[in-house]
Amino acid sequence: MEPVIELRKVSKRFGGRTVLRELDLCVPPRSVFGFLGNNGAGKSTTIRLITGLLQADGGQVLVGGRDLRSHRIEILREIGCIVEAPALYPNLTAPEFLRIGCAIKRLPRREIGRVLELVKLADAGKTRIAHFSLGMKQRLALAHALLGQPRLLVLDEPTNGLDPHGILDMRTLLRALPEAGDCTVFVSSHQLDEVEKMATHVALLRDGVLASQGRVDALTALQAGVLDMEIGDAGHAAAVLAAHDYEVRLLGQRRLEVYRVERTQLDVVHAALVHAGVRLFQSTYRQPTLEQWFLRATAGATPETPCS
Amino acid sequence: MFLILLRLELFKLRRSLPLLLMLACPFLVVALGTGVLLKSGNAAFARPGFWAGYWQTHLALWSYFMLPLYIALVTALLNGNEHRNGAWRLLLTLPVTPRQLFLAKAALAWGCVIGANLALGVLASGAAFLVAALRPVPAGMFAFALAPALAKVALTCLPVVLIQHALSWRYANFVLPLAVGIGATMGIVQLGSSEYWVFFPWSYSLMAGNGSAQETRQLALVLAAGVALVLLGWTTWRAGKGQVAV
Repeated sequence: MEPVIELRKVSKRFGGRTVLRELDLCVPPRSVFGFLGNNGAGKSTTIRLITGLLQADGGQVLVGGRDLRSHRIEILREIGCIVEAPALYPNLTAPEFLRIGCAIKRLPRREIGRVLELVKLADAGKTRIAHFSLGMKQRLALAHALLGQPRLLVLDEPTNGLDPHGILDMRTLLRALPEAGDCTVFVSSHQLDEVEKMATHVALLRDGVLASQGRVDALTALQAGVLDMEIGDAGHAAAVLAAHDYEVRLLGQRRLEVYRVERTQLDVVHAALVHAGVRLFQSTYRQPTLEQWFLRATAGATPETPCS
Repeated sequence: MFLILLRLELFKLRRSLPLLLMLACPFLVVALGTGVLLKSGNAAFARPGFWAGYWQTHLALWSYFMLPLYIALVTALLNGNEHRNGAWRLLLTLPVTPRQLFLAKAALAWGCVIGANLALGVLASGAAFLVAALRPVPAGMFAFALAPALAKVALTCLPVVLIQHALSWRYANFVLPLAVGIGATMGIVQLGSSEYWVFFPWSYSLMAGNGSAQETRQLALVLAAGVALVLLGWTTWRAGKGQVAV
């Protein structure tokens, strides 16, 4: 299937500083795509390029298979976005604010009620935005982005300022969008646990270069995990595993942890112990989290993963 | 799309400062003009040319001082509304072109100036009735052609509106546009009464409304129209090329 967003060798410089270097990125349709990277990695610049706020110095930005330079208006009609902090007018009320997007996208007024319901702001009524909490502002910005049921939602840190209920609502809503219709969600975030719970795909940007990209489960599965074992003789087991070049830590006479074990090697580890006559009571494999993957990858430890 | 944007820009003025200033600035001019007048002795009111002087005083106070400041202020506020709230990011990710947006905002800024001119006319007229009620004044309160004079002022300030709007659009910090507005107001005092006024767009409104000769008033109109046309083309083209501070 044709990617919803495709960046081909995109470069961007600000003055003498190169922010993005020949960035290739492809976002599959109907996915929730988490876009990760440290501060200054180039996430916001990428989002600005995708939403047409900036123009690339080199390369091509394609949205829905169309070049953003030549089809900007057409593409923006199908995009909803929040770029950085919510941009709102404090002197207006929520329905008044939504009239702006409604009028420009030529949508019927009933759309305002629909999106306010979706983000649970229907009762905000006549309160001016100046009196909104940060979470309410975030939800209103999302409501604006959802106007007209866009085919692509580009959201920069959408859970910022939300309380746990708000985060849960946002996660549920964003996860449901690709399932409910022809919508792809592109989310940049620092909250890795949120991305892990929400995203189907992730990409990692490191110093303006794509470090890794793929399905969340596939990427984390590539990383070695920790095997926590309860056994008859931990000292003997440690010696056996050390002989097989595994990193081991004793946690007691009957308990140890084996580090950097890939899922595919689990049978090898267990077989080695059984053959050495070690009695095995319990074995638990802990899959690395997205956070662990992120920390390793941003430290430069992860090899590049092809776009899938 | 331009009309939709213009309507939205107008809509965004709800409960905002530019709307309040549209009344406050003319009010200050009328309060100052009428206040100073009411302090004079009765002999000043009995003069046959009293009413012509009354209207010209208000027009001069407006064109000399308040109008250039008001234009700088209103354009800075209209664009500042986007800079301050980061709303360029919102507007420029909607299906509109920067040029359409620039033009809609320019039209709204000019609309505000026209509104302020109207407010000046209404408030000065109200104050004239007050003066007539308090002092022995001669007849012919409305013999002076106020409406055409105000219309000329509103037309000839268009180049200044475009200059101030382009500056406020480009720079997020309102200090530069305001400094230009204040500096230019000072400049009117020097250049407005010299032969070089033709090179200084801030003088056009003063000359169109208060110029002593008919030719001067007409020249101000022609110059303003020409300069406005050139500025409109250039600033709109620039708005599409350059990058707003988003």
